[in-house]
Amino acid sequence: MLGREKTKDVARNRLSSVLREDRTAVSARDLALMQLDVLAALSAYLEMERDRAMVTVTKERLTGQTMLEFSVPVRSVKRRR
Amino acid sequence: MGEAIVITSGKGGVGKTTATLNIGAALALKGAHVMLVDTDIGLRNLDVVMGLEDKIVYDLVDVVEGRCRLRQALVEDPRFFGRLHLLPAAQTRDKNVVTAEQMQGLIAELTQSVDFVLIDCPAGIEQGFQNAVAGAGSAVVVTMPEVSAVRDADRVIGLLRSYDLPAPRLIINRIRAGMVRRGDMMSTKDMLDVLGCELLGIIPDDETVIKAGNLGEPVARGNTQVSVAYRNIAARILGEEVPFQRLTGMKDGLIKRLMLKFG
Repeated sequence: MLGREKTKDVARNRLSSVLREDRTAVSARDLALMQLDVLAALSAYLEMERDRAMVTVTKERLTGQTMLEFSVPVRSVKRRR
Repeated sequence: MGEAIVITSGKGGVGKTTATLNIGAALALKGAHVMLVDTDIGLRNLDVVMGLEDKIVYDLVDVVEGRCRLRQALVEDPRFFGRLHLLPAAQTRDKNVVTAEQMQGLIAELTQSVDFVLIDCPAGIEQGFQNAVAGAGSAVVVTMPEVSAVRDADRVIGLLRSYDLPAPRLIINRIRAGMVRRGDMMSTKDMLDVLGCELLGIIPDDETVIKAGNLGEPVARGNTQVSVAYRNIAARILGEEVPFQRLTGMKDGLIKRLMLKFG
């Protein structure tokens, strides 16, 4: 059924996969808090459409790496002297 | 003042209770005074594994709720000449009847009178886990070479980081040397690579553990590979440098089949 592949290698690969998922899981609550923190940090530099800000977690297709993406429409840059 | 160590795993059935008893027994054999605390309220088992189930009068909840004094609830294991005691859990109560603060106070009181308090943590990561960890000064995580057990150990290790404790140490239970050799079981190195913990001990899978459990006997008192493994863990807890055993597994084949049939 499992051919010549050692079952330990299958176990190790499955373990790596579930741990990668578990360790990078971000709760909806934490995403919302992160969004507020990022907006607060950026507001010193940018005028933004805060209600259209979005934080998303995605997986990179090839590497499986977890990516955190933040997007927000920018109205203007606050000019500094 | 003694040291309080919580023995935890996340997943049930990996051998926490057996490990708690045998590490305690091995420490007592080395002359330490040890208190075993069963915090699995509602599902106590440490008393049965120790063979002391008919000696229990009061339990941990009776102490916390003031129905008896702490000393009245302690059960001495007569095989260890006053060096090994058990504080049993309540069997008929819910684990939420005890708070983390109450457990903290209880463990602090126990550490005044012994060298080691070993806290047998329930499976899971809810209130029972939080209670068991609350009073501990360090943690030992028990796992076994299965994907689900290692995954849960990783989760528990992550949770333990949020407590003010040193990095947990790892016990890998039920290793079968023959299966590791054949590539059918994850090795110690495989598990350490993913969990990134300090190794405290490796326990081979051995039927003597089941036989000892049937008899209510600590296997640490015997002369098997498992006995030596537990005594080595105790020595490491006491700060001794002990090399890890090279485990030998019975090779599969006619001899093993005959031994299983007639042994």
